Formats: sequence, C-alpha cells, structure tokens
Amino acid sequence: MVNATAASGATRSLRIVGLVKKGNTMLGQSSGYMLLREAQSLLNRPFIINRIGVRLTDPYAAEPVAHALEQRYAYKAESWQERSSDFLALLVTRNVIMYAVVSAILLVASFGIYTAVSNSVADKRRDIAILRSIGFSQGDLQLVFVLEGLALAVAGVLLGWALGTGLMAILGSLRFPVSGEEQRVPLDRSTRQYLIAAIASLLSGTIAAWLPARKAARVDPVDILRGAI
Amino acid sequence: MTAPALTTSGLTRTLPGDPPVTLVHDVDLAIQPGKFTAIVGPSGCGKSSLLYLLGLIDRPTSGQLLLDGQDLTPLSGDGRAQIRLRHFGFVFQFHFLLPEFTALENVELPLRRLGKLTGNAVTRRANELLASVGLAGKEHKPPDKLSGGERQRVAIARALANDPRLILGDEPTGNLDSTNSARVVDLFVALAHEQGRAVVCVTHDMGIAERADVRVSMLDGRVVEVKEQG
Repeated sequence: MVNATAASGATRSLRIVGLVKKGNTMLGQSSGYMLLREAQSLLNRPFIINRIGVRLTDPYAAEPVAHALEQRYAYKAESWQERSSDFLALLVTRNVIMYAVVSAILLVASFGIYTAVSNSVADKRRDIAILRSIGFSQGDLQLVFVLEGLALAVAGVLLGWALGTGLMAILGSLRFPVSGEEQRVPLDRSTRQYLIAAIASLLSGTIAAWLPARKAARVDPVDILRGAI
Repeated sequence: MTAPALTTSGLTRTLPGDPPVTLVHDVDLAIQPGKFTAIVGPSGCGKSSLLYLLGLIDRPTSGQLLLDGQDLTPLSGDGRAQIRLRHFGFVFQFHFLLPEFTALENVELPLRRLGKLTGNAVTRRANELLASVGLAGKEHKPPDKLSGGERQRVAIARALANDPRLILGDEPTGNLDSTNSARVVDLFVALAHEQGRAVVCVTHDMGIAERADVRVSMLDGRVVEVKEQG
C-alpha cells in the first residue's frame, strides 16, 4: 500500500498491484497507472482528462499521426520525437561523430589498398611492358590492377565481417548495471549494417586501386624494354 | 615477288632534349614474308630502336609504317596494341616470362586475350606450340625451373601463339650458349622458310646474321646497307 497525496493536500491509500517498466528510467520513476475515476477524485477534477497517450504499432509514425490528430480535434498533439527533440539531436550528433570516425578508418584502409596496388604496379613494371608488347590494351591492364584492389577489398570485407561479428558477440555479452538494472550495449546486427560496410569497403577499395591502375596503364613499354627505367 | 609484310618510308625517331637525339633516321625498308631478316650494327646504332618502331612498341617522330597498305603511325596506343596482338610476335633478349605463371600459362596468355579460342582449345593450342619448340613435358614448369634456352623457347612459343605474320626478335640469343643459340636460330629460320612468316632479328652475332636471308646493316641510326644473301 502507498499513500498518494495530491497538490491540494487530499490523500488516498492505494494498493500496488503490479510494477511497470517503461524502458526509460526518467519516465519510469515519475509515473504510474491508476483507475481514471480514482485519479479524478484524488485530484478533485471529476470528468476531466488533461492528456491522452496513444500507443502506435509503428512508433516512427508518431509525427504524421500527431499531425492528423491535431488537424482533426484542434487539440495540441505532440509526437515522442517532438517531445524528445533535444535528446534526438544528441543522437544525430553521436551518429555524425561515429560516421566521421568510420570514414576516417575507411580512408586509412583505402590508403593501405592504394599503397599495396601502387607497390604492385611499381614491382610489375616489366611485366606490364611485356603485356603491353604482347598486345594488352591500357584498359586490360587497368582492369588487372583494379581487380587486384578489389580482391584485397573483398578479403578485407570478409575479415571485417568475421571480426565485427566476433566483437559484437563480446560486446553483446557485457552487462552494465544502470539504476539497479542490468543493461546491455544496444547493437544493430542487421544484414543492412553488413551490407553498408561491404559496399563502402568495396567502393573505397576500387577507387583506391583505380588511381595506381591508371598509372600502370600509362606505362610506356619502350621505356622499360630499352632499360631506361 | 611477294608483297612485303611491312614497309617503312622515311621512318625517323628523335628523342626530345637539348640537343635532340635521333635514334633512327629516315629508314626505308621492306620486310618480306618467308624471309629471315637480320638487323646488324655496332652497339647504339639504333637497331633495337628500329625494331621497336617496326613492332609498334615505339612511335616514330616522322615517316610511315605500312601494313597491307595501311599507315599504322597515326594509330592510338590501343589501336597499336590491337595490331601487335593480331599480327606481331616478340622475342626479347631476356625471356620476359611472367614468373608467377607456368610455361603453359605464359603461352596461353595472348591466346586468351585474342579470344579466338576458348576453354580447352586454348590449352590444346598452347601445348602444341610448346611441343613445336621441343618443350613437351615441361608445360607445367614455372620459368625458374627451366634452363635459359628452354625459357627462350617458351618465349618463342608465346610469340607464335597469335599466329603472327611478323616475328620480331631483339637479341633473342644474346643470353644463350652456342648450342641453345643455334636451336633458336634454327627455329627462326624454319618459321620463315617453312611457315612463310616474316622474321626480323636484331643481333650482334655475325654467325646468326650470316644465316639470314636479308642483312640490314645500320650505323648511327641510318640503314647503310640492305643485302640479300644466298
């Protein structure tokens, strides 16, 4: 049993019949459910309702639904996104920082592929000259080295997937006590994330390999065959 | 008299610089099919430079290079590559085989790029070519497991893969002992006389030059003598 006291000083004894977790500590600690009539009586506001919460199957539809309700009933309707706009802005900032860090890592990895293919082009100058003398076109040679970069990127993607899966398994097993409850790191293990990582890596790997590949294609066989280089 | 395989007219190659250096000067030449032509002359006289011009590896500063009456000099880099792929075969002083590939794969390379044959036919043709240069049984060996003479014969088989009308050799026996050198020259002579191909070789070796049907002597970038030999 608990004693509930209204702002007016009226009190009432209430029996707790269940505990509800709202998934949000701030909301969870400051709200509760009781019979409507009991609440109206406690607050001395019979027949009055000052807020209606609507639970949606798709939470991301809250904004258009709030707008439609506002249009229809001429009462203010507020979506959870509008109410938590400060918090959501924080999440956007976090995502921007995360993607900036990921992009920086991708850039470093691209430089790795660029260096590997550049070294390969430098090592294979003689072979390039031979292939050119046999009749391979500039496009053929460009393709050879772009494929080399792509192969490195594919190997990187497979290794990255394996490492990422392993790291997520470790992170997922960690538990943190928050407000007396054990919480886990929220992880997005969807196929979409794997696909984004693969496409970004393959694209950056191809571009990184394409630059030295162009250089390879422009090798003049006569310079090498003459032994000038 | 048969039509020449390749004709040059006023072929000149000058390297830019101060002063410019003329490697090949005003060369008029007709390379005949079915004949083994040797280009001879002292070191630095422009023999290899002329060969690279004939083989479309280098581009002349002026003059014309005609194949079947078509002037090849204005062709783009890829256009010249196409002509090399379809009509020319090269053998260099160093075998220049791709070390990661086996003898068979090296010979298959131009065949695959040419695309006239596919699948097993490519391998069959490459095997035939290796057998024709006496390398049956060594198809799957990488270049580093072959002797110098064998590597050069793989290079010849590779040069023949596209069934070229013109075979160009830049000191192809320069790194070989006398026995292997003689075998390679025998092959070149046979390619010219028995298969009707035009074979052009740059050489220092006067023994090889004496076996040629035509001897082209060069000095200071100029052709000073073209001699038909019995």
